Amino acid sequence: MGISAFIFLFVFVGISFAAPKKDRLKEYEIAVTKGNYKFDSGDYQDAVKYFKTALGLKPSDKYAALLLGLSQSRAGQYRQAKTTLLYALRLAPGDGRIMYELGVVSFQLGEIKKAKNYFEKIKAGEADEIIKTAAGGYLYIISSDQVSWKKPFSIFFLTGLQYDSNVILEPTDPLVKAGRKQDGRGVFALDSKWVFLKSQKVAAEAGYMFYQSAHSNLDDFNVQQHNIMLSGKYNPITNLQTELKYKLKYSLIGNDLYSSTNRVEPIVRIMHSPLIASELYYVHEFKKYFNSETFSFNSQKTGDACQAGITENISIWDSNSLSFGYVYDWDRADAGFWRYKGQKGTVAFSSFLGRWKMFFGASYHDRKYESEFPGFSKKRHDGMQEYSLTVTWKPLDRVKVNISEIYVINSSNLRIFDYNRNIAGLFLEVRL
Amino acid sequence: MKYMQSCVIFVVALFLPVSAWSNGKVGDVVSLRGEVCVERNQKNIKAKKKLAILEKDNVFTHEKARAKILFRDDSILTLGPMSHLVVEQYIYRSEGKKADSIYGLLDGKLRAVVGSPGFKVKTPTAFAAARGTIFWVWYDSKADSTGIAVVEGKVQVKNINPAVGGQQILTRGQMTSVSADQPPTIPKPFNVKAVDDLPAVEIPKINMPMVQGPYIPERFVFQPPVNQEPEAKMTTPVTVELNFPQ
Repeated sequence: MGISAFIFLFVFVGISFAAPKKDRLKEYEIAVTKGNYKFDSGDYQDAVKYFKTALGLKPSDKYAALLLGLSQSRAGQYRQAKTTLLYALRLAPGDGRIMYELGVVSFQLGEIKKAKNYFEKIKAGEADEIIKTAAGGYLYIISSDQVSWKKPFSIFFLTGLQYDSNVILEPTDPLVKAGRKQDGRGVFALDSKWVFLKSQKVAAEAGYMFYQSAHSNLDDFNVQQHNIMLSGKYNPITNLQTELKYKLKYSLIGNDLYSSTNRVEPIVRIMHSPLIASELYYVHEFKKYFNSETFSFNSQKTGDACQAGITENISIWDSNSLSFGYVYDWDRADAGFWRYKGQKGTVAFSSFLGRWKMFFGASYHDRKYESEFPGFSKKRHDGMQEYSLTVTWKPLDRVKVNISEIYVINSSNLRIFDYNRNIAGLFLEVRL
Repeated sequence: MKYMQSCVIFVVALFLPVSAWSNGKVGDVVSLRGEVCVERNQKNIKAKKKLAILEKDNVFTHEKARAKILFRDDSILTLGPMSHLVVEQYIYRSEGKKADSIYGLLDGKLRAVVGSPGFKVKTPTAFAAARGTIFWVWYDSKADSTGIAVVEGKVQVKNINPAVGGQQILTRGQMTSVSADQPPTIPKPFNVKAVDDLPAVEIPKINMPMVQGPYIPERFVFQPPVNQEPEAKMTTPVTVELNFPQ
């Protein structure tokens, strides 16, 4: 910082000597006004040009330095923005707005500890409530580990054990008593993401995930999944984010190909206030199911599936978050008895306290199927309740331990689909 | 000969890089606070950022309102509350970004940063020609009096009525007042820092982080990432005939 700030000062003091003294104030005002105008118009590169002129004319002006740093940050020139903002902070030590923008730039550069430090200082000392709220928002994002994609490349490994009370989704009251349905399994997963494009307005990433489970008894139900993902984000204006995701999934159960899915998902996120945001999404899946020894009529499920939903996210203080969601979904499988139209309501809450995190989610999914199921005279109608809870402990920055529990109650008018399932797990996650 | 001269002047005038001889855009509203209106062709337009200002436009600011207009020659006019400004004339030449402009301040207060020479402000009692760069003009309609204070550069001040003689050249830190049918008063000093209190800088609004939903652990922490429904076994009715031994 020392050398870069010195060079920075040298360059701008040099510019200031080049301008005639009597016109300096006028030129400064014109440069600042034009810079503000360009900034408002979203022409950040041009704004950088004007604010550089302004800072050259008044090298000790904290506003010009802040505006230049802000414009560089919005133009995606994070390294330059950091140098400028550090210079601004030297001109105005303790200035909350400058510290906030430095936090934002550090966050964008993946320097999460530095960003956290700036935001915490603002929380502790800043009087401006808007700056405090915004800093709190970033602290929430940092504490909730939703920053992995901010780094150019991230990879994590997850391994753990699960107890599943109903691996094969057997009815609670089967017509014929089947064999064992409960089992324990080991799980291993690898998830990697590469952010290959990132600026203030645009981001793009690619990812690959591998999942493998190994049952102690029910080997036929071991799951392996390969998941390739591409995502592009575009923020046309400050309060609006759009994203387009594509996923290709290959799933194997018991070493046999079970399904392949092409999934396209456009998402729009709208921020109504610093604390409330909406997410609107549409998911279209092209699903293909394959027959196997275990799932001999699986291909009947092949077809499209769609979801259209809205989720409302609400931040409560800095470390708690609540969401409500509604989804309308429909499945257009080849076989009419697998086709359905459904509605789902969700509620979720998460809370952070130091290195501890808690998540609770609940949902209800109502599904009405189109045709009578073979062997039954009635059309199937299911109502699925899902309750999930995890407690996460983060002993180290890159290490997490999860204890999870999910309870599923699927109530159906057809007894063969009427089942309960309880899955408890203990996981270790390491992020590289 | 005179006919030839007129033709040459006409042809030259046609090719001059003059883009605002007519009622084209002469500036933009770059910032505003409170309620600001623009009267154009007897229609009222509610001003907002980036609104184009045309020659002959009347700009009105209401109570506690303020508007900043950036003109094509880089002149900046900041209109204070309860003010009325009219762009009487604006002739712009893109060569050297110069303009011959006359603004009428019919009420209220104005701060001018002069972008190019040929900048004039008229009030019902005074006429000010800028030779410098930054100055204030205010007109009190009740007292029918104009005040002018120079922050930087020089401003020539006269009564609007040419029949009233006398003029003053104000320099940095000097102010004068002009009442109806009176020449400008002798310049007196003023405290620039106390008077020139408008912030030149506008700090953009903070960019809030997108509100994140609850932290949701990866799905497979709960259950396998496949939709594994119970099998739809195709059952075929079978009739078994049992023939019991007689």
